[in-house]
Amino acid sequence: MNTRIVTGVLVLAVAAVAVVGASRWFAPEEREVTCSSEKAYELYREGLDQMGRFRFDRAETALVEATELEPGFAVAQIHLATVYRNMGNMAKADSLVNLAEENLDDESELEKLWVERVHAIYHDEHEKGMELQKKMVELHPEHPWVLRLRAEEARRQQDYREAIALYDRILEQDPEAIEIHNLKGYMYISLGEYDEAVHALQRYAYYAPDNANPHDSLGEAYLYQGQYEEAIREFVKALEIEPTFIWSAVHLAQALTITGQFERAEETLQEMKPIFVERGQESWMSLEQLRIDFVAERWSEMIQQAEAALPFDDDLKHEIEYAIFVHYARTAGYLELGEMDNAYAARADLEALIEEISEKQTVYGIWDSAIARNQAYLESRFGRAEGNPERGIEDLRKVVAKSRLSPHELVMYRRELAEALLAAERPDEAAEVATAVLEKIPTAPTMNLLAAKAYYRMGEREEALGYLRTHLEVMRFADAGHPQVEEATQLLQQMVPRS
Amino acid sequence: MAQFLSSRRLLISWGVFALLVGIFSAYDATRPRPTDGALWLLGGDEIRIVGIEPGGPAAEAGLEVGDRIEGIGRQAIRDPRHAAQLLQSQTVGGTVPYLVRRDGAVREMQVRLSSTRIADVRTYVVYCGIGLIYLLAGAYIYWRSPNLVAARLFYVLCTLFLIYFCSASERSVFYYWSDLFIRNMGTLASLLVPPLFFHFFLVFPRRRSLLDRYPWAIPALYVVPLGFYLDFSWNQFFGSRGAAISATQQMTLGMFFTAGLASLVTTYVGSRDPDLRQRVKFLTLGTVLGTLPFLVFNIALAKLMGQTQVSLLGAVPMVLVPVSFGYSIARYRLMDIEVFIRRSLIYAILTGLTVGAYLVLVVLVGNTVLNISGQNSQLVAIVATLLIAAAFAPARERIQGFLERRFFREKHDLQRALQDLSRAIPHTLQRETLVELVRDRVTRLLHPRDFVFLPGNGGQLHFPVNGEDVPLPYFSRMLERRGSAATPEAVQSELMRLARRNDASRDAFRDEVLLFQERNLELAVPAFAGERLVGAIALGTKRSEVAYDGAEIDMLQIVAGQMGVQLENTRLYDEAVERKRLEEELGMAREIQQRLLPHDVPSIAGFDLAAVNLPSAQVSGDYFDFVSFGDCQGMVVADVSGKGLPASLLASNLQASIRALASSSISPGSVLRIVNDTLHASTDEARFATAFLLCLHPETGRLTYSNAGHNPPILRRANGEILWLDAGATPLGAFPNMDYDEDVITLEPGDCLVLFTDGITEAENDQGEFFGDEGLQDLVERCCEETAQGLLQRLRDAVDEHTGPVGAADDMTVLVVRMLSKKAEPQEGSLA
Repeated sequence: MNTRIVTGVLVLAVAAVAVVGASRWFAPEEREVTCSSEKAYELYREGLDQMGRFRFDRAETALVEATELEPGFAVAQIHLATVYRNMGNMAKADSLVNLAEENLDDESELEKLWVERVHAIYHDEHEKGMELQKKMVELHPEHPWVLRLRAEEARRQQDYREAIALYDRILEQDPEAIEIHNLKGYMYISLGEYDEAVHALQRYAYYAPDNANPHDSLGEAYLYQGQYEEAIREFVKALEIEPTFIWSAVHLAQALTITGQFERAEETLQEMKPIFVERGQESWMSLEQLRIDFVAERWSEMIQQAEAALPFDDDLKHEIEYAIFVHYARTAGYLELGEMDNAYAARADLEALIEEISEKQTVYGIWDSAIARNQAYLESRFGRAEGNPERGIEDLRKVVAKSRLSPHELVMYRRELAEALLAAERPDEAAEVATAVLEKIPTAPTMNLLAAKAYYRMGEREEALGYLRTHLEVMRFADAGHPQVEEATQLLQQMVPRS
Repeated sequence: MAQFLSSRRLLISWGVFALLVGIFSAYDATRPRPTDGALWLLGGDEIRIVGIEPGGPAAEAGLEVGDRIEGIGRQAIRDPRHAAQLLQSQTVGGTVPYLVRRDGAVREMQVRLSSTRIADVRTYVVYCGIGLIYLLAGAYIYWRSPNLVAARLFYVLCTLFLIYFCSASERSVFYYWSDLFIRNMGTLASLLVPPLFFHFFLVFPRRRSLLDRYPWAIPALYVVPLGFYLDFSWNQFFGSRGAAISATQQMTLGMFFTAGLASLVTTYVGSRDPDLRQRVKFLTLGTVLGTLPFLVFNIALAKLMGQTQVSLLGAVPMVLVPVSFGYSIARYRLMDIEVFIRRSLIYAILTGLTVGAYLVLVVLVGNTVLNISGQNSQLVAIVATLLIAAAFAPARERIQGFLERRFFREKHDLQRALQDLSRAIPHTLQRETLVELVRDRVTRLLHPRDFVFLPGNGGQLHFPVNGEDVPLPYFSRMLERRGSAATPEAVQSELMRLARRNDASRDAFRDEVLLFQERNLELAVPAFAGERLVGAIALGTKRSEVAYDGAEIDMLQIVAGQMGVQLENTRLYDEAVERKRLEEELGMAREIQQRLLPHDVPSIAGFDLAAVNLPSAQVSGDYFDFVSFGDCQGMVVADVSGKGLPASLLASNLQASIRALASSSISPGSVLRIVNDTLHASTDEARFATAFLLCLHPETGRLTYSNAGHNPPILRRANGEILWLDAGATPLGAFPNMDYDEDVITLEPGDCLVLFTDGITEAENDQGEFFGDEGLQDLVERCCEETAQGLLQRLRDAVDEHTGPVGAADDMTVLVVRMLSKKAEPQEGSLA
């Protein structure tokens, strides 16, 4: 081949690569909204970024400036309205939404639909809002705004996989939509894919490190994953950022409870008590306190607190979980203390409450599965107390199998199931129950202890020892005298006799 | 490449560009900007690390090749450009959180940004200094000898070395546009320097014969590095390993250097010419000593084994290459760079030394003065400095003068050669001898591969191709306009000029230029006689491969000027000789023709005859004749093609043949057949003759004739009938084996026959109108009652009247035969 041709082709190829590469490098950015001012657009993007980071004050500053620079910037006005709504300034939010609708002029069709939809929602015209949403989906199914609406719909339909796929498509188009990582994280938690949830929420925490919510979300993911130390670190960080963020206090108390740090858990709740009280959400704190007592097997204190909570108002709408747990705690407490009469009486109260709840089916229907789980639990506990451990086993198996809850949330029920199976001299099945959880959460301390007990009963000492080690490792910061740690230590002594 | 090298404007622009790249690179290398020391792909949708600077911020932070950076400074990254913008918004020394994805997991890593400012400025300055020395050497050599191929190659090589050295700093980032630009320029330079180095030593100091056998070898040298650059360019944007020259590629480039060195060394070792060996000795030594450390330290150790700390050991000796090159070229007679040596290298060294001495003196004298005066005054220091500066200039002049005497050598004496040629030219009166003389002297003097003389005719040159002269109208016009030698640059410039004007003649001009290119002619020097272009000499590339320098072109123009004058002299001389020859020939022709014509018209009872031959200015081959055919009278009118002596000679032959054959009493047709075959065999096809031959029986009036392509004679019967006697065949000598028909007619009293040549009927007036057959017929009809002589005279008058003052252009021959009344006495025939 003629070398001049080869050389020419090579030169052309080099030029082509350089041109293509450089064109990608120097390609102008496309604007996603109708906006004539460069500065206003930059401020709009800054406002969105700050919104994604939950920094509504900074978002407000940027968006106010953007709308001042370009008074007809309807999309920015809608976002500013959302900011005000999050800040609790509904009046300003409403006026901005109205203003945005008046400003619809040169905006694109999608922008108009979107503004009109928000306007309809603000004015409680939900049907109109839904119609506009449908239209948006029909006309622009792949636009990030529409993808977000579609993802929310998928989430409502519990199609988490679809929601994640839609969120990914949003991120492909707009990697700076950082709040999407938060939504994705919860979708993964719902699917039980905790590693992915952690990754998504790590991204979210990275982008919005100065906000409590991302750290709280990430802590939750760690909690579900069984990484308790990381979870505690994130909850602590969230509380450092926002000391009044009560949900992190609750979650921190839960994480500390799981790892046996009852005193610290109680301290956390106590420190937050004024805020719980101030916000009228004291029952959440009490619920967590009861759970601490339950795990710590401080039966008397638990009964005392439960009794103090009674009686409840007729309207249990906001305290139903607490009310159920109070009755459950009373029953379980008396049972553990061997006060069977009181236990039967407490159980009767519980069933009366359940009946009451069942009558208000429309209001409290969502608690059906929780009630069923707790009844199965008590049936088993009573069976064990009455020397008939087989009694609640099948019911418990059924409710656990049916439940959509995560392994983390079902630990209490599986523990009871395993205990019942051990009491029924079925250690192999008990081991199966425990290891099923440990496959998902290898560090779950209670399940490790139960697995150790079961395998020990089965004569598989090495296996048992492994589980026991994990249990003690997780519980290394546990309060002195923690019942499970005590039990584990005794078991260890049996397994490894002192020479 | 060849086109690039031949365009002076392009070369100078490239040099300026290279200098600007060097300056910008130096500026950029010392500018502090934040960097993470990680190398990314620039054209992808994500930030994938393809390289980590050892010990850099990314390495210290624990980033690894293959990691994906998702966020920088808490900002999500849209694309690599956004990432670069985010980094640029950071500060040097600041710690920036990175969000990194590795094996599906994400993690936050703290990266303490460092500066892009190169750490080892001192080494970098040395590199830049070396690059600058290269540029100065290359630029000056090119400036002094812009027409030398070797000088151009050396110049380009030097500019590439400049870019290479100035962009040689190990830049830790690659995502600022300036880095992108400089790294690409540096890489391109580092890829092109080795093949250019090899290329240079393939044509210098002597062009390798393999380049003639394999003309594709030179372009092929550049294919590989261009391929490497394509790979580099692809990888910096889209590839899998990022922008870098691989070890294999480095080794390949090293091989180019080695091959270049080998070419030089073998030229030195293999040369049997002691002069050449002497000239190449220092250059070979310097280049080998300069390049070998570069190969070992820079390419083998630094590039391939990553021991960058030794790269300076390889770079510094590279200075030996331009220095040794310059020193050797100073003694290489075909390159006119003595002045360069005197004024640049030596001057630079001299200036460096004297400036050093000056500074030492300033310090010493200043301190001494201060100590003596005891005053701490700036004024005293300034005065001392000025005094030393005043002494500095003459000192430098003296040293320079010494060096000049030491280094400046007499080069080849072109002037003496010119004087010899000037003396010889005026004594050469023959063009061929003159051309040979110039060819011989120029070839011996300049050793061109080819010498072509382009003859000029009417101000237009011709290029001899396979024995034919191809006219060069556009090239001639360019030379006339320029009035001086046409170099490749001038030709290129003319092409561009025509292209700019969208001149349709560009393609024609290019076709003419192709003739030169096909014979590798590099230079065309016009020869003028006054304002008139009378020829040109075209020279091929010199065997030394060096281009013609200014002095040589000037010498050639002087030679061509003298040659032009002498060409005009030889032309005038040749014309005079030719004129004399023609005159002599014309005289001979007239004499021959006169001999052909019969002195007397025969007297035939019952017939009145008259004949005339009127020759034109140029003697032709017309004639008439009376021959004897036994008992009948033969008559001939013939016209031989052509003019002058050849036509007369042929007519003479024809007459002799007809006369000889007629005597054997054969018929007119047979005579003509035999004459035709004889003429055809003895002359070329362009030579032929028309003839009309008749045989008349006076007693019976019976006339036998045959016409060999001649104008048919006209017969006017007494009863007014007109006949044209056209029986016969083609002209004599045109085709072989022709049979000539005969016809027989019987003349009656009062009949009038007129035989004539085309000079009568084709006589033209000033309107371009012929006298024609009609004119002849009309006249014969009108005057048939007159005597033969009378008719002849009327015909002459009529033709004269028709042609007017212009006169007849051709010979005119007429023979008139009138049959008298049977009772009348025969009349004496007449010759007009």
